[in-house]
Amino acid sequence: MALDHLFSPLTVGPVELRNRIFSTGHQTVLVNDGVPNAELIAYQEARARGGAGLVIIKVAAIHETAFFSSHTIKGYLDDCIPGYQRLAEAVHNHGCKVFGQLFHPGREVFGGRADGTRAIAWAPSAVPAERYGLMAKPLALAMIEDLIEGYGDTALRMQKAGLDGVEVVASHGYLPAQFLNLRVNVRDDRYGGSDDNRLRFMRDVAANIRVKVGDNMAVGLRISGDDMEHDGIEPAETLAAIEALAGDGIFDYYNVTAGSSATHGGALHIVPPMRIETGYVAPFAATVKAAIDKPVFVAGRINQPQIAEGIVASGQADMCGMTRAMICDPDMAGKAKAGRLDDVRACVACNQACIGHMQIDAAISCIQHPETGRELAFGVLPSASTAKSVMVVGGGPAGMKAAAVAAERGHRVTLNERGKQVGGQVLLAQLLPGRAEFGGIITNFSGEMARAGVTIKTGVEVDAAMISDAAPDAVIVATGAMPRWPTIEGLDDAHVVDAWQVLNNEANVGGSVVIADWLGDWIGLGLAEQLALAGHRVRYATTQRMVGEGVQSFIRDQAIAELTGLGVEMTTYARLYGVDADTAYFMQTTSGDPIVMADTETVVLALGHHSDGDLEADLANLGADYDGEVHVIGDCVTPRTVEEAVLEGLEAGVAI
Amino acid sequence: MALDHLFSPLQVGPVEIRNRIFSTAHMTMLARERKPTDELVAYHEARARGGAGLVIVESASVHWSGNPILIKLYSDDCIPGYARIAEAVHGHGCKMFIQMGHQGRENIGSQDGALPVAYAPSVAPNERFHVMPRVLSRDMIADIVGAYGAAAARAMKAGADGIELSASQGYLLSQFLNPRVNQRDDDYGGSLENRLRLHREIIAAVRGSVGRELVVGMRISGDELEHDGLTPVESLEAAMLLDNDGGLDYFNVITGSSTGLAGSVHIVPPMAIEAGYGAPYAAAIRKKVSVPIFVAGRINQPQIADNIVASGQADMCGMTRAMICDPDMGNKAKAGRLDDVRACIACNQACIGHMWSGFPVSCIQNPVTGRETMYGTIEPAATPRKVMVAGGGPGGMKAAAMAAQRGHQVTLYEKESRLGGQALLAQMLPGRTEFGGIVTNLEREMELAGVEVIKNTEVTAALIAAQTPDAIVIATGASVRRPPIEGAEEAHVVDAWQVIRDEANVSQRVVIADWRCDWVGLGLAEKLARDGCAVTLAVNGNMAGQSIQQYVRDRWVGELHKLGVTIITYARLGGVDADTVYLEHTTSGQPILCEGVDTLVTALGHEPVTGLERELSGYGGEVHMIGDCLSPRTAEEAVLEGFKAALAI
Repeated sequence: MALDHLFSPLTVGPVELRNRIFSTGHQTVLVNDGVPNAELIAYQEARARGGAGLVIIKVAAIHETAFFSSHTIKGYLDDCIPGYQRLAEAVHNHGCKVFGQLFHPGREVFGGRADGTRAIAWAPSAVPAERYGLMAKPLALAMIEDLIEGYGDTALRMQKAGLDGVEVVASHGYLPAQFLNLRVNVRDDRYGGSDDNRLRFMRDVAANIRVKVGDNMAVGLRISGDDMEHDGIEPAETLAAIEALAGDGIFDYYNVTAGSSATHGGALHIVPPMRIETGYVAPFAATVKAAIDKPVFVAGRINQPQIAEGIVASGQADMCGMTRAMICDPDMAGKAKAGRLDDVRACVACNQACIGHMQIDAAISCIQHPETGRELAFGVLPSASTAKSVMVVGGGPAGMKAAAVAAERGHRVTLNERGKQVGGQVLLAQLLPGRAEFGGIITNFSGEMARAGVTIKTGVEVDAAMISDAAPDAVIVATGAMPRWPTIEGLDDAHVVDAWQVLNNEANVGGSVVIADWLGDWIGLGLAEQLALAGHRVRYATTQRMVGEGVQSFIRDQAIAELTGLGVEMTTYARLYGVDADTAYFMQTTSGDPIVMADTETVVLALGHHSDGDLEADLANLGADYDGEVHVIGDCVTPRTVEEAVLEGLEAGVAI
Repeated sequence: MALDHLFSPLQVGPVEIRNRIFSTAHMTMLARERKPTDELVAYHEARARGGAGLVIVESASVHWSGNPILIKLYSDDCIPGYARIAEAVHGHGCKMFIQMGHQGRENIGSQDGALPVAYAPSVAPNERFHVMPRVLSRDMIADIVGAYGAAAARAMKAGADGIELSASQGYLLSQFLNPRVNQRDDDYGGSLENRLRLHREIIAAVRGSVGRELVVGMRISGDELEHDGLTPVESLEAAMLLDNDGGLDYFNVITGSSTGLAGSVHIVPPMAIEAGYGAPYAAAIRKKVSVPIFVAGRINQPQIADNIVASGQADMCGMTRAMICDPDMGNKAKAGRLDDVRACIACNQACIGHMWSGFPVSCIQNPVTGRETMYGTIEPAATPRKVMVAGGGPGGMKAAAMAAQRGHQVTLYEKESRLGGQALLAQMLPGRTEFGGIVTNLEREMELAGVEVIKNTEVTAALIAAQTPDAIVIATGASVRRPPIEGAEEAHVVDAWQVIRDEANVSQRVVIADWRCDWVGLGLAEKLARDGCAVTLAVNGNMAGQSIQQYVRDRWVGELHKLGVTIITYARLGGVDADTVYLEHTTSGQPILCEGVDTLVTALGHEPVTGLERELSGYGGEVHMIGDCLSPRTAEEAVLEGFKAALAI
């Protein structure tokens, strides 16, 4: 497939970009004391080296009141300049351009202040945002003027540091969007009321920046076409605003996205989960492109170069934001340009280690590519000094990653999988409703192993004797885990099955089913949806405080909405302790009170896993009969998630 | 009241402690790079200076297989930091112990977002954090025992007076002792002797390093209060055996367990749990062992502590939050100034609440806590000035007290007949009476500092013109927010404040629409359910009580479950009519209908009271805006901003 459009250059104001692929501004947590750190530079450099045309650096606060989380760049202080300088140099060395983001969250403050107290949610009017439960504080005119200067001053700092452009963040319900939105801005001064008044803030910001940076820097606007929420901005409003701003001629480009931080419904479009279709914002970008003559950027689940090419070729947009695509595969652009489309490690939009890590204050990473965010430690894989024979036992994510990495480093690797296919638990996970794309992990690792020259044997169960016979230099034990069946009172009288049996269609589930969940992850949520869709009465009970506590919030919020729509009855703080022929007995986890679920035909256990540690134990018993290296990784160490399995696979692959 | 028992010295092993007050090991988030910091030194020094007999420094990891975030006691790098704490604390006559811990299956610490491998005696999973542990091999057990010995040597080198081994609350040693968690079939599992083997090996290793020069004690839970936790009988039996071995100098008795939601409430028991409730658990053990018994559990006042010691329930009283709230509690009590003690109200917001959100320890009543290096010394005002404070809520009262303490001439005006602001309402919620203590405490601080208080008087521009203050603090607070609700005219709709003040005639079937997911919604639900209403609590967030500290929330949700309250999550109030409340799902917008409703109670947050701010828009003098009138948040921010305003004047 030719990707001519994707790899044609584009002029954006004074800047020429080598291709149509960019990384949108996104939180990485790789900031210390408000300054970009060495990890951030290495992270962005990896994307530039890999072929991106442009990277837009995460938000910088334009004012002290814009401090969003403890990992926000303090763009309002000159201290940020040296870090940006190093970042710009690193990125420019690879022919990639770099823009910065100018940011004020307005009322969308979640992180609070550095000392744990709640920040003041400054906004056009005292209309609260829903998601963070903070009442907004109206901005006085003098403060608005300060903020406008802050946008220009911060842009100037970025220019001094050598950045090629700046982007005003008016998307996702942040401050400029709050001014624009007539449901949020109820001011009666010159910044509120008429369309012109509500647009005044963005115009003043644009003018202030342009006066300060002149014409040698690209200045763009990021804006949500549709806030996707009950009192958010509608597409027609966004379009009208863009047309009016285009008439002013200050902005060099418009970067359109979707969603808003203000509600659960809007926020999930900030990093749209797997079940939202790929490239879904392109149609709105197309309406913008038809209306104005400046370049239009777009983002929203563009996870493959082919999709991006289609968007550019069809004239829907000029630049494609492929942020997670490059979190997952920093070399995506270079591979695509070389026609190696099958080699691209496609993002599955699981949200676990990218935005999920951000939400727990941990550095950005990727479940499929743990090198991300760890470029300083794992950026370059060292070649093996001596080629060793390596036997990997288990073809789940951990084993596959270990095999691929070890082989790429020059070792002779054989992977043995006892099942008919490699993939491990991913084979099951992809069967859950809306999770088919998760199976992409298997496709990606299979390709990596094939390219690295791993020999794959399926249908082979490895035991200790085989290892002592084959005497490889190293063994990687990645035998995974199995469903956990704890002792449950009354088990003999009841119909109880486990999650795997249901997914494998090995269980004859009754009409009224209770799912007992422990981890709060995809499994329980997915089973509930699957069974409800199949017409069962579904009750879902979890030991967690909230449904889906174990998954990233956007995934959770969307999944719960689905379950609510399907009529699934959800109970929290509930521990399964007994069953009989027609009832499941739970205990409230704080009070110990009974929660009785009568008329239950089948209980489905989603109570986690226990490791398959047999081979590890047998190997230990071999003693002197096997003297090679042994590495134990992934769920057979102790059951966690794909993320830890792949990370440990990488570590083992590097350690050999 | 004489507090003779509390202020008598106590011999613990080789160490004499000057009184019976100690600070238990607790996470402060003041360590950096897994080492003590100047902030941590200053924090503990403040408690030592204020009269504590002993501080036990927060739990540190003794081995790589434990929590990877805590202070790294398996590296010599920690020694200089501990030495600075010891020196600072000793300078005030206070002793210092270090707690050594291993979390076992309770380990969820992560430095890079990937889950750690948690090690435990067996594969029995943890329920609260959903951790499936990996079994400790015998080699690893031996390594851990050795690590305890090495860590003890480091503690001694740093100048600590003692070592406390954490065996409480479901952590590693408790996991070994508990037959429901320890299912090993080697000599570390099975019989009680076997399940206590690791305890004994660790005590021996520690003694091997420190001999009898340092105190060695053990923290245990008298009752883990969890479905599969250790029972009082099991804990007592183990304590008696260990006591008989003679290796330990004291037992520190607490309750609860980290492993479940029920047990974890007792790690930092919230206000609804009775003060001093831990004492009977300690007494049960004290009767049967030979060494001194320490106890903790909501001992928030010196009178309670004295009584526990006097009655022989325990020898030392853990008053951790009491000193987070008032580091000078010990000295004040000793001087007989009991009314001056700022009593902890066990709100859990800024102490353990901060810890759980990754922030340094503080206190909603005492913002200096955790900020000692910034605010440890309060400078008197260079020139006394005339200060006018408008509003007698927590923010205004704190500003007034501090400004007056610095030497300013301060008058506080409150438009109502009582001081306290929203704390007056908060204390009316079930189980929240003690919240009113914040008003008592601040009134006393103002009185001691010499603040003039004028009630029933609203500050206006005219009053300011007449008084000509040098500085004004606007602390006019917030009012209840009542946004327009479609159909409200046809329905019976009342707001949270009306219900709390008993100004609303709430009918049988009630829906509470809760936006902030905090105390208000939970409290109203409990109150109305106790009044006999059929209550549905519809919260806008992912879970009821999302915005409040987890131990407070979890206990409360358990109460609501007992009372039969129905909870709906992800619910935005859309409209109401005579008998139906219309909610919509906050992700999908799908309708959620509550039919057959008599009364809708709105708990939709607050609006700032900004009348005075607007009146003063052209005023040229010094004005400070603080607390909810700036932006409605919580008492924590109000008090902090009041404090900062007073320093700025």
